[in-house]
Amino acid sequence: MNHVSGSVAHRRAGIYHYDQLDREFLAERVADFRDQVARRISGALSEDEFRPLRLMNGLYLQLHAYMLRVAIPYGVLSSPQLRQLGYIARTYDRGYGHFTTRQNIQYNWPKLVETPDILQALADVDMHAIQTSGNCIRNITTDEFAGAAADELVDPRVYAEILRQWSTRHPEFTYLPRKFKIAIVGAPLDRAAIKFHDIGLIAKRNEQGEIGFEVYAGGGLGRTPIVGMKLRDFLPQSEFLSYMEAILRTYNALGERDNIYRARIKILVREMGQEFIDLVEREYAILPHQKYRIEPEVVAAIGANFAPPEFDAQAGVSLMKKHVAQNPHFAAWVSRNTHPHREPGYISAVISLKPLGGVPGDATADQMDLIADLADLYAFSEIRVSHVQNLVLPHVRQDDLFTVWQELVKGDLGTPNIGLITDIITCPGLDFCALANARSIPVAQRIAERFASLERQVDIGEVFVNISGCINACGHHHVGHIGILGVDKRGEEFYQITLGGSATNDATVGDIIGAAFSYDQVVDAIETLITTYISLREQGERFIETYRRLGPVPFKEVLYAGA
Amino acid sequence: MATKKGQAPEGPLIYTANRLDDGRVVFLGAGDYWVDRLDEATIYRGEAIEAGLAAGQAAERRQEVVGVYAVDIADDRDDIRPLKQRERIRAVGPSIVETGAGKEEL
Repeated sequence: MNHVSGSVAHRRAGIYHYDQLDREFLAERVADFRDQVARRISGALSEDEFRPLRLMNGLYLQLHAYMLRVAIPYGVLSSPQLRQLGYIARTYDRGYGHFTTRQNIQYNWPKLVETPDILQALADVDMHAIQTSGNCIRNITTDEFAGAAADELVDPRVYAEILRQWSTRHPEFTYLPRKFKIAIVGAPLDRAAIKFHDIGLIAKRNEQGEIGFEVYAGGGLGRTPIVGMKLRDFLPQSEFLSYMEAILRTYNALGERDNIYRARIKILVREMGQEFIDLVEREYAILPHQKYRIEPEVVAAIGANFAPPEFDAQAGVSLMKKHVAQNPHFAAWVSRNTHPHREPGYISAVISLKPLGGVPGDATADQMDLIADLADLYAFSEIRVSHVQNLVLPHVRQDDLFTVWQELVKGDLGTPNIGLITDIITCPGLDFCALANARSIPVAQRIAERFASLERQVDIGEVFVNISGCINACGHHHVGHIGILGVDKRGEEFYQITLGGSATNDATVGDIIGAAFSYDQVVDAIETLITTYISLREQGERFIETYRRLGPVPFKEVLYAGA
Repeated sequence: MATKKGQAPEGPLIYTANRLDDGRVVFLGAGDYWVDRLDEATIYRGEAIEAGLAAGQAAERRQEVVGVYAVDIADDRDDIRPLKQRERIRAVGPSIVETGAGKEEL
């Protein structure tokens, strides 16, 4: 099916293209790690000495095996890169990978001795696993529809890439008090949960019509969920980098390094409030601005990597409309799994990685190949990873969409459930993660099974269910309309439910609804919440809106009626 | 009986770790060899517990395994059953059908 050569496909995709310097740096890192692994195996390095070295290369030791977390910068992939991720899954792992809420991919079963070969395979397609662990600036995340969305003001990939280059091996920010996560969106609608990041940026226009960013800091999930505080209402693009530097410097100087539970920037911002903003502004004032100023030429040069593909000005919509009218399955998929494109005749297609009975966020090597092939044929060789663990073909001609859908269905990738109750964010949980207290994946699978009827899902409407297997909240449970948190009670799994969370512009931390439910009870509890919502909702009201109108009481009363 | 914090363990317990070269879960078995199967793990009680730990730590120093620790198991069964769900899952693998399962394990 692949009619485009790898190098041509890589070149035409809207990704940052490495230069010689980038490639030499990666080659050195692979060689270094190969040497470090050899010394670990020989005993020249102890585990205590080796652990920080492997973590700097994304290699964790999890519950059953090592786990390799590979960086997908701001969730953007070319088709050769996705194909290579499939090759790695097939050659070095168990034939699949798991896409994460950080828009990365994880392999659950790599062998230590083969990890240098995996890193080499990644480097062959300009990828790596650096800054996917440790107290550094992690993979910057963004809107999966970047460069395609109809409502976009500025392409966030350009600024995410500037941040990536600035933060990679930044000598001052390699050993921060804790890990540091930045999200950036280029449209008014927050599709990257920016207010729950250490720094969140959202594009806007000022009164003069200039484009800049609203800046938030100190947001986060985990043990202490906090909505970020606004630091600047409008940050001009040219001052972007120096202001980031000022925030990081302030945090680096004041963050509590001696207490892991208080070391994130959110604790500092929460406790200092306006004083933190004042300190950032003071730091900003004394920075050498010329050094950090992003000249328009630099922005343009980086932006050239993300230039729009050669859209067909004659692209039509009649074929798609015809198939929608004729095929109810296709119509259902189009209504849930597409997003408006800024270019007439084009559309973004969301590929659900949440099929009934599947593991949310997982894709097999064969599926990765299929999607890469479809990207080559129909989507300018580009693929995106969303923070809700789905994949996106950002630029598809509307008249090609029916063919794309047919191919996706053949690969078990045509589930029409985006934004519905079965489109669940799920961390690996106790099935894989050494930190987890409870399983997440089977809970998601049981919920999906309970609500398997598409008709019922559509009737329920948009509801985001997020599941985390521990308080670290990798499954973003705090910001699910319905959040589920796995807890350990005397060695057994229980699940606490939160309601009313939101990860978008109306960022909200969900309310804990009451006592936790057992593994056997939790799906019934979710069904009770949904049937309660159905009985109480007004015309056209989503779950979150009904909850906000009525508060927790009616839900609580039904949920704990027998208690 | 579960080991209580601050008290010397009485058992019954087993020792587990991850193999260094591939990270897989292993248990200390007969002859101080590391075994893949939970049911082949040696059960330690009373005074033998310290010797088991010493054997495990020696294997760590020989770069065979990483992160040796004791797992409390039920005292009232014929088979070996860890008391905690975490350890039960760790011992037998993910409780779910893995994506693409059916292909031969590496």
